Amino acid sequence: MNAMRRKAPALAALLTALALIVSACGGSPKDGATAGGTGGQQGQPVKGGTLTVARIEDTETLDPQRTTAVSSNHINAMVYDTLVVQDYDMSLKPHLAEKWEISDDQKTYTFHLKQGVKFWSGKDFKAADAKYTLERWLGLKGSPSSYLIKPIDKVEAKDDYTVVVTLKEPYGLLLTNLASPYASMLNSEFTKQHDADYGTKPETVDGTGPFKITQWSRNDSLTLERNDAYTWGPGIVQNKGPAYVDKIIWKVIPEGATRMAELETGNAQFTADVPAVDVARLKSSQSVKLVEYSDFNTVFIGMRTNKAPLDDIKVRQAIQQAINKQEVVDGGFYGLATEAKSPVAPGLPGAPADAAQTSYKYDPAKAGQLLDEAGWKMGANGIREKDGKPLKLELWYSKGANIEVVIPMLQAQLKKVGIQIDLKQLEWAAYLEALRAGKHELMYMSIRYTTADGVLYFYFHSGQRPAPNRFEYVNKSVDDLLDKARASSDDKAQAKAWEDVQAQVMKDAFWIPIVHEKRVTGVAPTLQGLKLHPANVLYKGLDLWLSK
Amino acid sequence: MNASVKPQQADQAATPVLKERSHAQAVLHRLLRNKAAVAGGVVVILLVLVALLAPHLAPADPLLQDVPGRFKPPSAAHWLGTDELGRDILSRIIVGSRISLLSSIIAVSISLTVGVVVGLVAGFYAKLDNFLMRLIDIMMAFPGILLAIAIVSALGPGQFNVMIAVGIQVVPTYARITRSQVLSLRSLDYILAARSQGAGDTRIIFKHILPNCLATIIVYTTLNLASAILSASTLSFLGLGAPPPSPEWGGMVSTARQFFLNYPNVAVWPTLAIFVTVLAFNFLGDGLRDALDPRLKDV
Repeated sequence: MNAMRRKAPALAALLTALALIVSACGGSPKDGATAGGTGGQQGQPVKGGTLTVARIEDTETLDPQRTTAVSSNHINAMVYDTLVVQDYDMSLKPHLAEKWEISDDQKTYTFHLKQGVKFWSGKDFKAADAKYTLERWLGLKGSPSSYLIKPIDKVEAKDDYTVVVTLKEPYGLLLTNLASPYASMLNSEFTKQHDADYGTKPETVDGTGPFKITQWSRNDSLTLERNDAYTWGPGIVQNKGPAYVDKIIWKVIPEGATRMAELETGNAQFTADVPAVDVARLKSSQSVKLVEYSDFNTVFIGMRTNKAPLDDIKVRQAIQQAINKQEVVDGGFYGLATEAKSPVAPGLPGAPADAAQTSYKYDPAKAGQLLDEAGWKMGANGIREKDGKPLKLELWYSKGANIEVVIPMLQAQLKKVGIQIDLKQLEWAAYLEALRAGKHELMYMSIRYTTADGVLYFYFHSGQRPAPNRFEYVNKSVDDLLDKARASSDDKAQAKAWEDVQAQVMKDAFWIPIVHEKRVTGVAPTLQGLKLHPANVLYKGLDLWLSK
Repeated sequence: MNASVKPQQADQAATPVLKERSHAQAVLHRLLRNKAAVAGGVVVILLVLVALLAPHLAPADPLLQDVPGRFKPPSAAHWLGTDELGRDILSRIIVGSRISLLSSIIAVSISLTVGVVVGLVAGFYAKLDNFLMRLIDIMMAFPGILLAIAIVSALGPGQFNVMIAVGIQVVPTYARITRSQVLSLRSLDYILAARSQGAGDTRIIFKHILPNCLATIIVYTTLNLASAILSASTLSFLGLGAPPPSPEWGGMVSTARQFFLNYPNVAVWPTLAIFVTVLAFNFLGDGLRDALDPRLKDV
């Protein structure tokens, strides 16, 4: 007994050391190689099988109107349907609305709904559901996305299959936003019944989508099972339903190495989050195919403008110029990104023609000078001080791609100009909650979007406080420009307004666009029928199937 | 259990000094004969020296980033290679030794102080015994590391909170060890003699009982230093310890694990550092136990 007891700590040390090494070795491709034997096989889709998807973070909620988290969108796209869908080239196509008419004054949209669409609960999808969905969304307190349909004046159900949407003013983005996962059609009766905890557990979700949610344990896994009654897939997919795979399991695996190990050993068949450090090694892998795709995204640091010392524009400008974006691209993202100069990524209408003009260049000397001017003098320990107080800021972040390299890198860059950054990492849901409470100073995050409005209005309109405008940014001229862009039916004037918004935002210096990420997904050779959607990656999952 | 440790009798101030020394000599002699203990002791002494002289020993700034030169294998410039931000791994381990040793020393001091006082009080005052020991039982009902995780979660991540958590985690063991010692000493004749001469409770506890519990406590403390380093590293590994860029060993392993498939070198060294340190403390602790209490040697 005694002998065992005193050996235990030594043994534990050895076991811990071994366990660390063994767990990290789990990703050796030996198991995957056998699975890869049939890799690349095309041909007739086969029904059946379980598709496991590995991802960084869990779904926040399955109430599509209460979240804008990408991790929720992925699930909502499979669980629900929308009136309109965005094709792979971002053009708009009909879905639950078979066709629609727009009045000459651009203020009335009449949607004709598809018949025979049913919720999982068996109820028919009718105009009353569409009306309820849009009205709930518009009036939902705390919805981070209801701004997307704010110009809606009223929604009427003309008959069971006709919905008329009337706008206060012309709004060119209506159809695009009705194609977003936030516009997922809800079951009016069911949702009313469960309103308080709608979408928080599998039993309080009802949708018309090709998959039903059957299990969800937070921060672990979420299981979707095929909806066998589904036959109303949108025109942009080949298989209109039911789906081929029996189940899709979404597993949360925050650690990059573990996530890739799951894929390489064949325990998972897909991940949209391949750590950049693994890309070079996996290019020659037999067990994982790397598939690149592009979306519009920006990785950024946001500053809380009402908190000292960030209420001083000179401090904010100094921080902007202290960030070496090229180092973040090369070092943090291993080259799988481009330097971001504006909130909206190039290629999207509204992206500045010459973003370099308004962006800040890396210039630590200038940053130091600005801090000197603001009264922050260099202290003995390399940290600036003012009135005996050190220049210390907290940087909050959650899990994310390459975070373990990027965050300390940003910390070191700011240290160089005399700013001490204390890091605070939070679990994703806790992070969003804490940001909503507004106790942060600097926050690190990334956003994906399909329109300039989706990032500009989303973050910078004063009506978007406290979240997603987590910067407490209020600027009347920006608000006006954003409203103007929305109402504009002239594409050029709209793009100009968005460009002006970005020029002002950059001038106010509270938002640092750092990089635009390039996306690399990891795919098992057994996963067939994959076509990546720029907004929703696996999208409805209808065409996916697993070869033996 | 500690019959070999002569009860110190304060009322016999003239106890031959020679005898005391011979006991200490015997202990040292037995300790030096134990090769594992000597090796452990040497490593521990070296570690303490490294920790004390860390800023002078580290060949580079442990926080200095050189991203183009990252993930380099061991070389003349970087003896153990560089990590994911191009920082010198050797320098990080050397400077990190301070955090690891200091964490475990502070954690053990916390558990030592609280645990021994609770044990002394519970063992000496029968009325309080039941109450205190039930409290200790409640703490023991939680698996150690789970209790530590719960404490850090409540206090918030950070190296100091890790020290508190690791400290609290071991309080019950100290309390129980001390109490059992006190119970066996309390009724011995020399205590009775001291009391008959008018010694008060405080004097009896601290002058007559505590010194005779020390041998066991010292042995346990040495062993506990090892497990405290391990617990603190575990909590850091789980992301509850010192935030980046601190070169805490557990945190280093945790980050390096992300790159293990591509660059195993980064994970190997801090893992080895933890392993060697824990092993050294254990060897030393085992040796001390055998030396202080030879009867246990062949158990």
